[in-house]
Amino acid sequence: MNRKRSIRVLLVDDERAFVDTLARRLTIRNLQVNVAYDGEQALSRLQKNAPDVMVLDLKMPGIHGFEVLKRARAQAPLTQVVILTGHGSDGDAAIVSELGGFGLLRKPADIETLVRKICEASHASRAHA
Amino acid sequence: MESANLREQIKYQKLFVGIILASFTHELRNHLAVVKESSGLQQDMIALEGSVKDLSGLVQTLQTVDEQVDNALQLTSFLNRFAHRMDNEEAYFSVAEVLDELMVLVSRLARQRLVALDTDFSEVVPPVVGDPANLQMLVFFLLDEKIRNLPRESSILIRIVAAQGGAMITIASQGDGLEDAEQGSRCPREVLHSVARGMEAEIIDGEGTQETGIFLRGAW
Repeated sequence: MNRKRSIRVLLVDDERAFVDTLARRLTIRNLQVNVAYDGEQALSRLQKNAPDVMVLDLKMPGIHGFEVLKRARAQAPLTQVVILTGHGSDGDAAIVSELGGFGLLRKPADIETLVRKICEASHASRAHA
Repeated sequence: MESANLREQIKYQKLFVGIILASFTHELRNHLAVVKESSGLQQDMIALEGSVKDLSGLVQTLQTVDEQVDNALQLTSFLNRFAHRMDNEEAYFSVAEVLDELMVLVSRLARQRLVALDTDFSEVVPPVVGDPANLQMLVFFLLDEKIRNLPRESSILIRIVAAQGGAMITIASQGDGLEDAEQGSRCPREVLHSVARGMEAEIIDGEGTQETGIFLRGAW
């Protein structure tokens, strides 16, 4: 539980009602959560204070999630990126892996599955530090 | 030659329907995701506190769920109408109604590109005759080309005006034009012209690339 408390997560999604509610649920589960509502905001947060894990939507106004993922991996290589998207193409998972993403979950995801993925990603992030 | 043309048309009709369905299901999943997380949050709170202590929070959650269900219902109604446009290859229809449906289904694509879609369907125009599903495809690809190639913060105005006993749809971009067009079009213009000819309609390109019109013959 203590280890989980120290995991810093940045949630990135333009659907405010979704991301704000999910942030509360993850906070209840002892994660340190911050939110960004588009790709630009996310990259700016990343520059100031890189989290352990970024949970990122793909289809957002402005910069597409793939571009955010690419830039995030270059800007903050220790931050692991989990894609959480309602977009269903099989090709997406391959692109995510090619761009260095940690994994892809379909939205809506089971909360415990998401927490487990975040913990695994955080573990990978710390192992690379 | 004719069957090659037909194959090309079918290919792009499938692409059009695929794009619309992908965008629609994505949007629907987003609404369902909000419902799922809102319900999950209330379950978390009850598990944490043993009972509902924050009644106003609960009411707010229920309102959010209600709104998301309404949004999803509205979207599915438009999708249902969109599907039924394919029932008849030749029908009398209101251009405004057909375009209203399309606008709802296309608005997400425009939002993602930070392009505003404005409509002016206020002019009373006669019903037209033709294939409404093909008209939606024509307008979609013409709009899509502009959405994909316009700079951010641009806008597109779609108008319907009466013209020569029929109707004219104009699609005008307001921004820096398409000079920095890099994405091109997802459907070749010759396919669109061929689809238009099939319904006795005509695509008319204005000066430069800023405005495109589609003329549709009237029903009477």
